Amino acid sequence: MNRNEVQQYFHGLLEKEKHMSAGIAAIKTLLKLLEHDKSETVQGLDSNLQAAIDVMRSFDMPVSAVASGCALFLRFITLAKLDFTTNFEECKDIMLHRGEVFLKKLLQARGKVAKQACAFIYDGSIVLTHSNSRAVLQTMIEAARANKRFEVYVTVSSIDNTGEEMRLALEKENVQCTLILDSAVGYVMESVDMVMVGAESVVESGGIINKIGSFTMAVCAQAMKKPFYVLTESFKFSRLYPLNQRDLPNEFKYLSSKLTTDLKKEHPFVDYTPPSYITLLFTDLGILTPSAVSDELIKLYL
Amino acid sequence: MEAKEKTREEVMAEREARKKAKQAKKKPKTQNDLVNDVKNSSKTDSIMKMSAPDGSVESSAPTVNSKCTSGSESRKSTVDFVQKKQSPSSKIDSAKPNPIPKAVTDCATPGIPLNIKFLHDAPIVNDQIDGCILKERQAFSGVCQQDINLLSKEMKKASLHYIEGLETAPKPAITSSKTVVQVSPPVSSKPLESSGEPTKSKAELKAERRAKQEAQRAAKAVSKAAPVKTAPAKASPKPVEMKPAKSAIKRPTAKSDSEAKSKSVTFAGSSTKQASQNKIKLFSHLYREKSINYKSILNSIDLHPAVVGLGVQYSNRVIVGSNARCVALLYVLKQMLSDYKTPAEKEFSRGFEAKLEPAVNYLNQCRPVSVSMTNALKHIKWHLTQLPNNITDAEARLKMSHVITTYIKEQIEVAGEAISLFVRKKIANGDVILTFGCSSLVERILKEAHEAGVDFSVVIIDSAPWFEGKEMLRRLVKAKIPCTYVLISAASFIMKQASKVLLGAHALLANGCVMSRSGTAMVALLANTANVPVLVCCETHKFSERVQTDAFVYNELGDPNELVSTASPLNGWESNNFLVPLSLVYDVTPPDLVTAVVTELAILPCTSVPVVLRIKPTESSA
Repeated sequence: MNRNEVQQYFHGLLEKEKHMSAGIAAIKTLLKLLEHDKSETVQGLDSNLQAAIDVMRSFDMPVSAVASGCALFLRFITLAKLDFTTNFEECKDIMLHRGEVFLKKLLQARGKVAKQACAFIYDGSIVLTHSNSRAVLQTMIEAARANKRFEVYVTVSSIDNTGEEMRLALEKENVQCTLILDSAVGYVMESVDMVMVGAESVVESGGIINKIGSFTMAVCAQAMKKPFYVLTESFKFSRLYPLNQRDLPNEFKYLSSKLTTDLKKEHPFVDYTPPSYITLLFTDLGILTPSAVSDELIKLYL
Repeated sequence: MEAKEKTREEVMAEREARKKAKQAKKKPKTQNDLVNDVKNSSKTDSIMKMSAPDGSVESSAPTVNSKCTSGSESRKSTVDFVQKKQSPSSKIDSAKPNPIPKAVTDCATPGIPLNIKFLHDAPIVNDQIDGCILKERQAFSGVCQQDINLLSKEMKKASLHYIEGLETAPKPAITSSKTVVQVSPPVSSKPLESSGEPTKSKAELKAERRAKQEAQRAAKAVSKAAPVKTAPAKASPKPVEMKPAKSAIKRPTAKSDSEAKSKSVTFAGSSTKQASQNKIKLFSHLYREKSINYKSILNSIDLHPAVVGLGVQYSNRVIVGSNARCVALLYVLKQMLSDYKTPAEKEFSRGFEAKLEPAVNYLNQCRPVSVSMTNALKHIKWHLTQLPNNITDAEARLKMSHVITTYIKEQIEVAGEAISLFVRKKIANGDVILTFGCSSLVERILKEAHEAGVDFSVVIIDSAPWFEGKEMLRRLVKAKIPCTYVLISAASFIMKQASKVLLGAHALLANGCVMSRSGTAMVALLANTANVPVLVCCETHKFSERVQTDAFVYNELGDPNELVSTASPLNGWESNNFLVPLSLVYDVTPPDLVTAVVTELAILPCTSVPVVLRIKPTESSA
């Protein structure tokens, strides 16, 4: 697979499967590459994978999820490398097998998250959510199917107005849903019971990187003493430790096509919410406090 | 130190000479030292008084005296040290506390040589101690036993007189300063030429400090003596019990502890009151018996002379900083190992452990053992137990010295490098990095980031009593990093300009609290208030399983006299029942004030300390 093929495949996945997060798509692409790769050595394979990751990261979209997915996949591969014994073919087989198991696990992750978070939506509750998060959506669908009566406020989430999609999806499930402006977050905060958001990626501090506006929501929620829940799969955990907004890598904040222009005039796509604003994180590893994220990451990577 | 052996004789000879020239020598020197003239006058008094009873005591008196004069400023700050070394005649100028801008310019002058290596940072310590080890090994291994006996005999003579003279209060002043002299003879003989030889200068520093400390104490005792004597006579509710004869003997005592003892003999009622009034109740468990009986220590065969020397260096704050103390300890252990012979019918490891214990106890007495040292010792002990039973001495020595070398390399040097790399990614162009005091690790990080071409400036916050920030300032300015120097009183103002705060740490506790030089918590709090991210740089060898939520439970008390300058209204606090200076060495920063901890493993939140402790190789927890 050359650059173009990787690009096409990855793009195709994103286009075709709306329910698939970019991280999963990236991992799928890498698996595909692994399958079709013709390199003869582990090193050759490594460099091919790296090249593919570069291609995906230069896609014109926020790439933090891609980055964490790829990092996890590579970590997975390097672990496999250690126990290969006789020849490269055998090693590759092990990798492929592991990759598939890995992917299967990841695909189940969202279901687990939904199951856990669903219990937190109680009858008569009012939930505020931001933008369009697949994990939040699935949780709410599950709650609706469990005949819980609740109300949802969804922000429009300007730049791409993904809140619209969220509203449509929720209304399809007969969930009472109100679309609000991003600027109305403060206004509705006093009337909601909890905030649920997804995450592009979860960083080592236990904070999250998410669609712009999440931080505002978190600050408001804390000021009004409402719980701020994050629903996310564990493959979005990434080994990054932003200290503040400025410290976030530019490639996460801006489209890669804009990186060369004057960034001061560009609008960032994501923001960083520090752990002190987050009440709980619902992941497939369990319900975690922000400080437990780093523990999980240490277990995963060290 | 071959020099040590040679100079032992020299010292003796010189002492003789000085004895004769004492009167002549004493006067000009004290006059010379105008800065502390108030103190000095009392100092000379006290020394004369002390030297009065006997000739052999006299012999040590000039030593003390001469050191008093040269050592009095040396404690002020290391910047001052250097200046003084360079031009001993300019003592008075350099000893004056520098106003802020002056300090900056002083340090900016490139002419300041680095001949005094203040043991803050590991690499320097390594060099110094390496040199020290090589030389001292040759010197000590053969003669050390015989040496110690000689020394202790000599000391016994002198100190006995003291104890007779002062009776209830064993004055540490002379005994200890004598010890210093004997442990490292070049001290008193050639104070200035030692610049080429770091160990000498080190020894010198320690001697100076010690002497100064004692002299100050003595001075205080004298200045206090009058009020103490008169006060009870007037104010004591039970004047009947007072025995003037005894109180006269007791007069020159300086130590509050020993004083308490002696007083309880004379006027039982008021004395305990006085003792407790000179301590703060909340910290009463932290007060330690300051006077270490060096006589008995040098006499004991349990302690390697290098350990004794190290203890003196610790207690005189010649070796400070968690890393430096740890490295110094490890090098001394190495030396102990190389000089150690397994006694008959004993295993190598058992025998050595038995040797280790009194050494650690002694060091703990000199200054409470740091977390880094505890962890290092744990590591060493674990490896000792792993040695096979039938191992020969040579093999064991080789193995253990390898263990020590690896520990220093992996836990301190390489870890520092990794941390430096992590932090460099966080330092952006145009940053203003704020730091507190002097941390060898932070210094290294900043220097390396600067070398890597990152354009940033540094704000150094400093505080009494040690003004360690001046040393930091000197080093950073030397590396051509733009610096600003402020005292902690201006921290809230300068915090607005900072974009990041980098702090060093003494230890990281299991609940995520950061234990560091007192003042750190305040800086972190201010940073938190100003929304400036706080990065604590700490190698994992400083991680501790201990949990502590405040700085009261476990802490270290500095010498309260260090808070008292000549002009200070605190002067003579020992005689004032309403005045207790308190110098806490460490404080505890709660985890919510710290944005991240940078370790060699990763950048982590404070709360991950227990996880790191868990995943660390089993030996450290074993």
